[in-house]
Amino acid sequence: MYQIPDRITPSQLAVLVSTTVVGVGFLSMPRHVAAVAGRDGWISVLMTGALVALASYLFAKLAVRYYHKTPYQMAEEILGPLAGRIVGVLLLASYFLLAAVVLRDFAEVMKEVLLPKTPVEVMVITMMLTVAYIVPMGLNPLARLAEVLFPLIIVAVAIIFTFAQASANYGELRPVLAQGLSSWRGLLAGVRMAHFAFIGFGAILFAGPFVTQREEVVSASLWGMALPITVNFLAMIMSIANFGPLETSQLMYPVLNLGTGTSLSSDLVPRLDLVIMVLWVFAAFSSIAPYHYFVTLGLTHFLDHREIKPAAYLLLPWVAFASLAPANIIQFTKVAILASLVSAGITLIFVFMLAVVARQEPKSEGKKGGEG
Amino acid sequence: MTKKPTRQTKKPQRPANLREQKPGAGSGPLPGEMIPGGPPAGGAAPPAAPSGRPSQGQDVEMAKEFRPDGAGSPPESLNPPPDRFMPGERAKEAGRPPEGELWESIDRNLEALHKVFGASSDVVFREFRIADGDVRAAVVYIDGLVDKNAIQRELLKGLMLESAYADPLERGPLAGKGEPEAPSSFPGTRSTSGGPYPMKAQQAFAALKARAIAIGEVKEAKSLPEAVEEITSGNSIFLLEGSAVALSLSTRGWKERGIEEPLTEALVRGPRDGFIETLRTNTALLRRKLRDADLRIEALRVGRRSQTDCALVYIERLTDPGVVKEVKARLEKIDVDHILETGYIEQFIEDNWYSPFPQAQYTERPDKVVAAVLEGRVAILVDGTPFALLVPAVFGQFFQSPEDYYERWLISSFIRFLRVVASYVATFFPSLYVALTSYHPELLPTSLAITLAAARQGVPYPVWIEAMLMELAFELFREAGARLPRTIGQTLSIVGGLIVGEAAVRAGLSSNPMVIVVAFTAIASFVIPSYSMAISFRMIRFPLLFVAAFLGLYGVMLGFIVINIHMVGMKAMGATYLAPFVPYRWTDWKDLLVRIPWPKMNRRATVFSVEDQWRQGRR
Repeated sequence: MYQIPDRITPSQLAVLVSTTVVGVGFLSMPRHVAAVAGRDGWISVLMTGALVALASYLFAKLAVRYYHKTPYQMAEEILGPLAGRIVGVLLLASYFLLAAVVLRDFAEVMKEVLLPKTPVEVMVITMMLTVAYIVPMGLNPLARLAEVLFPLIIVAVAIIFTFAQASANYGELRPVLAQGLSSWRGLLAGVRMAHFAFIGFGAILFAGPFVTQREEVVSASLWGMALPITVNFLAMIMSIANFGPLETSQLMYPVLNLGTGTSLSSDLVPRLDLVIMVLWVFAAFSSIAPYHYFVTLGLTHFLDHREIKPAAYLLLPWVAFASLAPANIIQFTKVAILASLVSAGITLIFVFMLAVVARQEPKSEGKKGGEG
Repeated sequence: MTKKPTRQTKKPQRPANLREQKPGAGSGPLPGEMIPGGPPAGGAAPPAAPSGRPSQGQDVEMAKEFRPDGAGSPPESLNPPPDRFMPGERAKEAGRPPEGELWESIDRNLEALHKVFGASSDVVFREFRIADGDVRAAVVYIDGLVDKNAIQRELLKGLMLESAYADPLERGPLAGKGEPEAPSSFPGTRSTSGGPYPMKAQQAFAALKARAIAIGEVKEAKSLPEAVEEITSGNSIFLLEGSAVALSLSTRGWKERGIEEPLTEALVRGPRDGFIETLRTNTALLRRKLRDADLRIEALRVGRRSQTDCALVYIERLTDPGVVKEVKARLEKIDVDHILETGYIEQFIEDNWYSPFPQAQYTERPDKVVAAVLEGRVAILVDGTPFALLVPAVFGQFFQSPEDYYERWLISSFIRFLRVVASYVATFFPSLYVALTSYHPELLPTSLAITLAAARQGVPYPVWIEAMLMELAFELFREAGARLPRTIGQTLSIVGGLIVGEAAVRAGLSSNPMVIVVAFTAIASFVIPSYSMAISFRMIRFPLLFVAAFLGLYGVMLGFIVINIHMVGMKAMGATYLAPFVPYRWTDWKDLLVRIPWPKMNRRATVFSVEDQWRQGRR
């Protein structure tokens, strides 16, 4: 059985979680949310953020409880071999789909913005080759690379919001909840849409148990989630404030277009969206690589192999195939929705598992409470 | 000399002699059984003893005397091809000096040394007699490695001419070393019966050491390999008739270069002394800068044939003992013919041989070595080269220069910032230029894009081929200039820079912006203080040009990610190569991108887990 030999520091966990969560979904999120929730989309994002923070907290608790165990091992330990295996396969499938979806999403936006004449396949293959370089190295290099890329992603986000701030008109945000109670339905639909931008928080389950200081897992996870929640919230607000709800829902990648109209950007760099997109390669990579790693871990677990290398290489073409399978954006969106549903279901299953554990061993809960 | 018994004169005769005895012993082993090597020869002694010869004691003595040397001798006589090594030795040991103890007879010792050094013309064998005592003695040394004055004035003159030293000999130990079995072999000494022979010899040496030899450092060499090693390292070996122990006199002294300013690491401000090729001088330079009794300079020998002296420099109770142990273990693992430069050692002990990045720093500056040692690192000095090796080295250190610490902190921090920018320019500028002009001209301000396009009008090649050609041309000029004498080098730079650059543009082979890019890249790469790091950056530039040509900015970013994946996977003797950037060690960042004022730098960097954390204050 494969045991992860790597150990990461709490700050590495926080950074890894941040960079995994902030990914490609972020770029298009305001469009999806604004389409269903309109002007009040930011409330949806805030609600999603709160829900995700709660889920992250529970995941971190699980990570603390099942210290040095992968989620696949956790599931088998809690639910027994059969049910645990089923959950494990579901988990594997969800991250497999996610890796493929994020990869395709990235390739599409890349083609749309940066390299219009390059085929999507080239983008997918080059990205997966790069992923193939780091994933076999294991968790530690992944965390270190996240630390390298984190400041660059911060820089990209800072550029976006600095420029967006210059042309923002916050009057667009009002009136808040104009339709009164009837807008709740839209808000809830917004939550479902915004969920995709936060989907990487499962990284806590995978990386959390391998943090050197057990007592800091929970706080590090929550700190790690603070950045994505803030960034997504700001992106939503800025998009509405810059474009208004209607235009936001019609822009393909609203976040990329933030701030392109300001005089500051037109003097310095005529196409700010390209600069952002270039830097966003880092954000995309730092999501895809961990997803691939999580899938690799699952396959290694089920093959009962001693190292992750074979599984990592074995999965490589399949992830690429899966991401290239949808013929067009419309098909792809369906897959993306499926992936996000499966992953939401998995989240619920794991939360349920925690409840099971909490009921099963109330004594040890009290005992371990101090550590968490 | 004339009365020497034939039996003892020559070494090859010795086994022949023993062989004669064997049949007499009846049950003695056959000569053929001697071939396997030393131990059987030792085992031959008991059968030889009861041989019933008149001088039984002599035989026992002989056998005993023969035993250690038997390792070398029997094969020599039995197997005609003269192999000075034990037959059991593996090829691995081929470079080792011969095995065996020294003889009591000076002739035999000289004979053995003659055999070892063969036809080497620079080995001097000087035989003489010690005054009054009329004892035969000899000194063996290598001409050119020794201080001849010391040998002539302090050794030969003293022993040969001045009778005062004869006194202890006459009434002292030398006088009573008559060997019962062969008194005639020591014609000049009175043969009174004394104690066991070696004891006498040691006393004689003690007397000589104490009173007669006016040389600072004197060691005893008890075996032939030891003696050979001393000779090859520049000491002289003093042999005395009747003693199986030789004296090694430290008479090293050879021509060495003066201490000059290091050419490759010139500073505006800072000490001007640099290492030279002599290890001892270099260690002295270090000691002079750091009068800490905890400074350890451990000696090691590396190289099977070259037997190069290396020194391991670190500070006890400061450096992590684990690091020292690791470095030592890796040095001891090196099994190679020769070490001519620290570069050999660097390549043997580095963690990632496939990496383009250097994993050990080298320097000619004693001040840099002292600073590194004070940071908890280990320096490796090698005899014969002015370059010291500093390990472990992490990425950030290649951007630092000793001057950063001599100049005021704001200036140093600014210069460090410049170096970081320069490293990015040196690595990414050409590929960014290619990506921007060929894929994303819309990223450039419109007027600039138009200027660039106009300048490129008429250039026949795509921009990435143009870039590749120009960068290659630059590398050619650089390499040519590096090997040429300085005077011609200037001509070359004029030819390369002005004529070729200008002509290439005029001829329409390249564009002016490309010349600017190449020039910038070149200048930026020379801003990086470490030559080896600058070269690796320049090397990486070429694959990046390719990916930029195929995938534009996306390719360049992927390239950046791949380089970083490579670096996060690297280790430098236990430390992460990118430390302290990654994993984040905030406390170490005070001396990384910026260099905070000296009074604030209380703690040492924690990357190398030093034992003594405090550099100043709070002791």
